[in-house]
Amino acid sequence: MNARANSHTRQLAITGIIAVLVVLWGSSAAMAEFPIQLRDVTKQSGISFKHTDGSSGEHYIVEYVSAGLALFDYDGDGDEDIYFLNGAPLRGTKTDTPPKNALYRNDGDCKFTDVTEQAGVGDTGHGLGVAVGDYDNDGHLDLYLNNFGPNVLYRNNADGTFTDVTAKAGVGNGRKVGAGANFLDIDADGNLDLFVSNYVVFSYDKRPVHTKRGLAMYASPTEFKSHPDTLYRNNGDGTFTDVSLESGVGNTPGPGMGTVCADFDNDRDTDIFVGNDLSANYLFVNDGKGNFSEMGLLSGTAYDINGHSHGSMGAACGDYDNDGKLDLYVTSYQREVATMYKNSGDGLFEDVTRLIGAGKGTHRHVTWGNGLVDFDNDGDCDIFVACGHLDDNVEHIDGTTAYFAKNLLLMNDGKGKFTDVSDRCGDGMQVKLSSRGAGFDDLDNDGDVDVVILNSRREPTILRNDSKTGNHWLQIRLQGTKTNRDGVGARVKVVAGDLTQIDEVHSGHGYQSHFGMRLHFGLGKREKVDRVEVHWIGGGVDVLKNVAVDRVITIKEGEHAKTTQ
Amino acid sequence: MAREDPPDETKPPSETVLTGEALRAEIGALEKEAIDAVEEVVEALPGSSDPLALIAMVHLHFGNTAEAMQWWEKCLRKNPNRPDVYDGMAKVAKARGEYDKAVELWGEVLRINPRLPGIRAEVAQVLIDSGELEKAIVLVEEELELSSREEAHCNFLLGKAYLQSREYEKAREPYETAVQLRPEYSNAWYGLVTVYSRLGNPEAAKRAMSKFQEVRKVEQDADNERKRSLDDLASTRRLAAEAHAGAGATYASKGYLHKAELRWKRAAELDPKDGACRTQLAKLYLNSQRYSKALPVCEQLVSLDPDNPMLRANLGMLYSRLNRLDDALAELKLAREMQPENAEYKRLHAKLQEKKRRER
Repeated sequence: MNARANSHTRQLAITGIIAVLVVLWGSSAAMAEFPIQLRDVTKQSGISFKHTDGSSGEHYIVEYVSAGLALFDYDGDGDEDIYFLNGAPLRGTKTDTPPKNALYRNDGDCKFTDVTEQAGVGDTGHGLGVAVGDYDNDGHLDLYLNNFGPNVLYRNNADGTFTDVTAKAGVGNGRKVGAGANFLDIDADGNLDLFVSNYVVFSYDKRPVHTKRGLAMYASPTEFKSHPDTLYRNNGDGTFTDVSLESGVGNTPGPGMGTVCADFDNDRDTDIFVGNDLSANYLFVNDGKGNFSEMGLLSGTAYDINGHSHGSMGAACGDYDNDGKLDLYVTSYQREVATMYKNSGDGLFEDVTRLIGAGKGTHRHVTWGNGLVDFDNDGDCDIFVACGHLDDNVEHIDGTTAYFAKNLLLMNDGKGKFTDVSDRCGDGMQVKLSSRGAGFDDLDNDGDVDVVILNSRREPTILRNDSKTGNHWLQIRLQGTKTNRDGVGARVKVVAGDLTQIDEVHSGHGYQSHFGMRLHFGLGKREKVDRVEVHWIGGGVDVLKNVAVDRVITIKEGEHAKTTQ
Repeated sequence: MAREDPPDETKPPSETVLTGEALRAEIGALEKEAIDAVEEVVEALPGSSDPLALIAMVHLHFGNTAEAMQWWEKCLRKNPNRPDVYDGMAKVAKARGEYDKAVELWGEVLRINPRLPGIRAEVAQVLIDSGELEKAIVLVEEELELSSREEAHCNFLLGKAYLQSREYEKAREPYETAVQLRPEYSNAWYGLVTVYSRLGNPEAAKRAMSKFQEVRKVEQDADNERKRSLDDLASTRRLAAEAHAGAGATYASKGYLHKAELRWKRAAELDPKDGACRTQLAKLYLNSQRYSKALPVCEQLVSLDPDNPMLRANLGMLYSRLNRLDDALAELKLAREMQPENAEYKRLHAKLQEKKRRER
């Protein structure tokens, strides 16, 4: 080959390299341009937790429903820590060291340290659901575990440790199969009461056993009887009284799963929504005094638009269309679509899933953890859905679905319509596992909402929100003085120019999980908040005006009382 | 004169409760045998697209969706004008949540046969699920003009489309029609609950709700019973029997009657309740005058459907051919009692009575 030919070859090679670089740069630029970017930072997070569902091949129904997780600031240092539930070895499972729940302290920058032992919260029960709330109003968040078997209430000792006070508090709930749990103030007395959802009546010895193509499959929840749900009223002295029957929530058995408590009828008290598995969902409407009427069917939340009861899993709420009313978003089984119930404001809800695209991508999968979360701080709620089948052998009997599945992110266009953008949101959305509970909060305190996902039988996934939108935000912590300490149930309204948003502090949310006590409001390009209103449950109204953005504020009850504004 | 074969062996299989590995092995063997049988048809009839469509359907029934799709693709390469294949592919696409693809595939069905009933309703359902309500309404109305086969379902779809577009008065009428046509239609009753509530008619909503709850309970009880009685092995046997029966029908359609017979016999062995393959076998034996072969099959058909006068009459005539006159008379008598107005049964019965008199 002569010199000229060599030169030509080199030139071609250089041109080729440049072309490759241009392509790479172009694709990277295209990726970066998309407003929502979630990065998988699990490996560098320091989290070594691995979930087990206690299974040994027997396919007990209590396996696949495990488990939820909690994001909360257990040590009061201003960042959200992570509590993972774990399964216990079920009958037939042998293990040297029983698996236990795990608490990870947030050290900042999405780095975590396992503090389970020091904190004393390594429960070895079969964990299903979890809720967090300061039941004794001492300024420190306590932890309630809804297990298969006895439940556990851990009281926060304010020194980084917890004490199991279940027996004293009287909230063990027998040996039931648990599901979602929520702290809420049912009667506006300033003390957090406790709602405990129950799944099916399970017995190792009397249970249906099925196979398909010779492979063991889980039985359907409809083949079991169900317990009614349980409601405990807080006596204000560290003990609770079971008021399930007299309150009206204990009269209707149902296989409860995800639960969320919020003011769905805008009457300033907290109602209870229970997603039931293959049975009509329940909406327990509060009369303000802790008496509940089940209004699922009448309100339109019991079934989907076809009148079908779904295999309801996660229950999330938020105001997706910024109309001042909290809507419900419920995940479900394969060949159903996760359903958005729009709150019409007259006690009625409307299944608008198909009109607004809120079920996109969900039809193929079993869907679990969910949240209405503003990932790009543009002032509207996007949707996150955790996916994964419950049968690890499902591909052998049904090629249209999969045990491992990518999770879904549906972006709100600001007009209340959703687009499936999962594949454009970074490597965090490419993870394929069998997800269950999911929690959403700003783990690294950088002004955007990150994601933690509990994956069945595997390590969790930590997704850091690296979206570079330049949008503004405001985070609000509430501190009750007369009402409950963390403002659970309080409604916050944030007005910034033409944008008005509402949210509430919820204890227990999504798929049997807990997250989001620090409220997060994306503001788009709006550089100040004109007005913040806080309506406390059983209390007054605080109003703040001209609030600066891009910061976390704490609003103490009564310090900005409306009458003084 | 056709030869007489030894007595038939199409008896129900003996019931043994299998579990674990033994069950898996038995089911695996049944599936393999069924797939082998239809693959043999594919090899035997290389010029036909029918075996390819058959093997795709067998894979689909066993849950092998990817294999089914591959065979359908091969089938379309041989014959691109098979609406059944596009329909199967569309249903899989829908199950996967690939709505656009499903609509495209059903579009191919309508290209091949624009008047095929049911397809517009399928597309409309997907369009409603995609929020494309106006297009869906047009298709449902076309479907209703085309066929009354799915009238209740189409009215339900119309109601649902109007409900979603918040045209409650327009939604009311088709929902009401749906429940008139099918009073146990729980979904339509639920639509009425919603519509009456939105129209400010609480009394009507309450009545619809009560009816919804009543019919839903019946549905749920039936569903629970179905789940309780799920039998994996029996269900696999049924699916395998369908595969063998399909192979038999495909062979028969091309004139390979001996191969067809073997497949139908295997289908009958596998599924003691399958009347269709036994009917085919009985026809085959009667047409080829193998009456003693036909006898146990016809007797099984009668035991599967004892109140069917036609089966009784056929069995009677077969007894007559085998010179079992008393048995023949008894069957014809039953057929006549079941359907007294049937002149043919009357004539045949009289003929047999005459034959009996002459024998005396």
